[in-house]
Amino acid sequence: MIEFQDVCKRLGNTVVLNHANLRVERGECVAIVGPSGAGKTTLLRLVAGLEMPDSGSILLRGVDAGRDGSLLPPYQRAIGFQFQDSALWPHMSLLQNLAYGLNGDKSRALECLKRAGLSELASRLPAEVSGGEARRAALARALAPENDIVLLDEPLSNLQKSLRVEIANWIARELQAVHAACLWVTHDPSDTEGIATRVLTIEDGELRETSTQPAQT
Amino acid sequence: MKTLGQIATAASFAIFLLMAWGPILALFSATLSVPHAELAGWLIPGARRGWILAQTIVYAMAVAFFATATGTAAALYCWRRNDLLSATARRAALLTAAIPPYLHALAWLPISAALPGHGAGEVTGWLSAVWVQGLALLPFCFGLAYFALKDLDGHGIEAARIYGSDRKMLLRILLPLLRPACLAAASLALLLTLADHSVPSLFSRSTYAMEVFEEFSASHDARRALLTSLPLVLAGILTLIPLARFWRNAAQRPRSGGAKPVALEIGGLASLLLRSAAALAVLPAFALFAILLREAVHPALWAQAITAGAGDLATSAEVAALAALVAILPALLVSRSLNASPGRLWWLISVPLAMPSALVGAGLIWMWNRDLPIEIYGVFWMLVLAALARFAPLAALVLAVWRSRLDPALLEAAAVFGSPPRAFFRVELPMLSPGIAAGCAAVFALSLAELGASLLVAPPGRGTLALRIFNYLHYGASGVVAALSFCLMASTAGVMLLTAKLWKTQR
Repeated sequence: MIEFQDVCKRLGNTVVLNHANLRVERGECVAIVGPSGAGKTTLLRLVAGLEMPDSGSILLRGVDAGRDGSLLPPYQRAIGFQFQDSALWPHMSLLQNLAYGLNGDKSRALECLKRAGLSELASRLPAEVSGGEARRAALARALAPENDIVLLDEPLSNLQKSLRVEIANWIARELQAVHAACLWVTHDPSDTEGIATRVLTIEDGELRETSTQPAQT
Repeated sequence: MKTLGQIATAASFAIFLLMAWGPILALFSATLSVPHAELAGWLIPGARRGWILAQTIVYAMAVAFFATATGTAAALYCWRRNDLLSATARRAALLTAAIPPYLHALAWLPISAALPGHGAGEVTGWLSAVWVQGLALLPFCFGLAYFALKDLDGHGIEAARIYGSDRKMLLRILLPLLRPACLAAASLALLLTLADHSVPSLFSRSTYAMEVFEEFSASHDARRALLTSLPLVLAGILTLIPLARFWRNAAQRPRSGGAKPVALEIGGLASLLLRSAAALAVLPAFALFAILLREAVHPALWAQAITAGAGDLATSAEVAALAALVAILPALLVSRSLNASPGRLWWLISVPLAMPSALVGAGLIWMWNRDLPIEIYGVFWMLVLAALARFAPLAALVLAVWRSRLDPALLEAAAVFGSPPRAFFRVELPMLSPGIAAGCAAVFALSLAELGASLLVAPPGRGTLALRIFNYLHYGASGVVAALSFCLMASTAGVMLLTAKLWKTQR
């Protein structure tokens, strides 16, 4: 589903990925851990098409998405992406934020908000909801199109413990429902306990598998 | 120390209000003596004036639309690319930002004269004026849109690119997010066009600002000038609403990481439109350079220009430097209060910007043309006061925006670790220095080219370079005018470049 073949990426003088190889199958959730600045987010951005690899190939569903200067535009990659800082559009209500990625289908957007427990806040602007609610709305936006590739960037950071468990369970249910391949970036591997099937560490441009854990069913 | 700080702030406000509001309040107080029977006759414009007012508003709206649409499209092009055209457009906007509209006319008068009707016809005259004024205001509109784009949340833009095409992102996300900046740009263009009469007069078109000027010149009655200009003043204050809102929001918004430039795929026609707009942003600088090359190539012309204009240039520089210095000192403290309590204070500072320049001149004459222990009327200081009345509010607004975007924790830390004067001089002032530089540069460059108020208050035998150029321009774009204009343009462009360099190093 997601495949890195010998991918190299530098940002300035820092080597983010050095001939990295990675394969994530459908229904698999892979946790990416590593210190700050190691390149966890860059890895997601490469999959999303927001960055171009310096060399190597990134295959999505078996199709080469970015190689040697050509890049499949982000919106043609059919992925869900949750940014670390929510990145909700401030001039749109939560409902409109979700409907944007659903070709304006507001009933589906409302259904997704309901599953996220946010249906009562559908008409609110992002500035009018709490940080936790905005985070859930951003997650709902990433999961709403039911794409089979989902990228999550620290979805549980800065949330209360009780809320973390609740949201983690919700993400697990949603991923399972569409049998998606998921890359989950986190600085705390315990966030993905019971959800991630594998844990990879990224450091000094190297991707190393540190553990395999059975996903909770 | 706190009491000393409060006294300093109160004194700053008093000086500031005297500079910016003094001429306006003087005029309003003078109108109290107007007999009621005459009041209505002066207040209600006759058919001719009504027609000129309508023409002026349509003209200003056309300029605002042209400058805003082109400036926004050019900013969109420059934001998304790092090619030669983008770099040239950015530099051209910076270089031409402080060049007054009547100098732009210099480049286009010969072309306009070649048009059917010799540019002075009803339609060609207005179209030429819209073109010149629009190009002159393009850098402001470009700048506002460009900085708004740079300030957008980068992840929000990237998220939009993931969930929809770039064209959809442009229409549904980028343009709506840019709306406040576009409205502010349009308001600014509208405001500056309503208050300016130089460009239309060069194309033999009469605007309402010109009527105010002529009314005062003919009657020497400042009260008549105020009452005549009230419709224009009201229109100006109305246009301030979106501008003040944008300015306040910009001041209250924390600095974001900024959107990363991306190469958007928005289709051939849209790309062509954006590229054409960027080319238009380069055009004013190119046209001015071309006319200078054509008109002022002979050394003899330069010698003649220097003989004629050296004294005027020195006066202009003196006026501009004094205005910048005097405006920035109270602005330092006024901007602090502005950030602490926005709202009414913003209006208090912004409204003087909506006053037509001729009215400011008339107000200053009314204020200072009386027996005083020190002579102010009829001397050099009237020019400085005119520049301060028109542009001192700008210094406070620029500083307030810059101040509010500083990390408050840094200022709080300075207050914890040092006494108030030490915190001010060692931490606050260095952190404010780019804002101080920008405020000074804005006041200096605009004062250097100030015309509307200077026309009325310039003392006998001591004029500014702007006055000399404007007077010469009515006789056509001669080589001497081109050489003099070059001196003025080089001065304003030099100030802008120096400020940009200081910003880069400070940031």
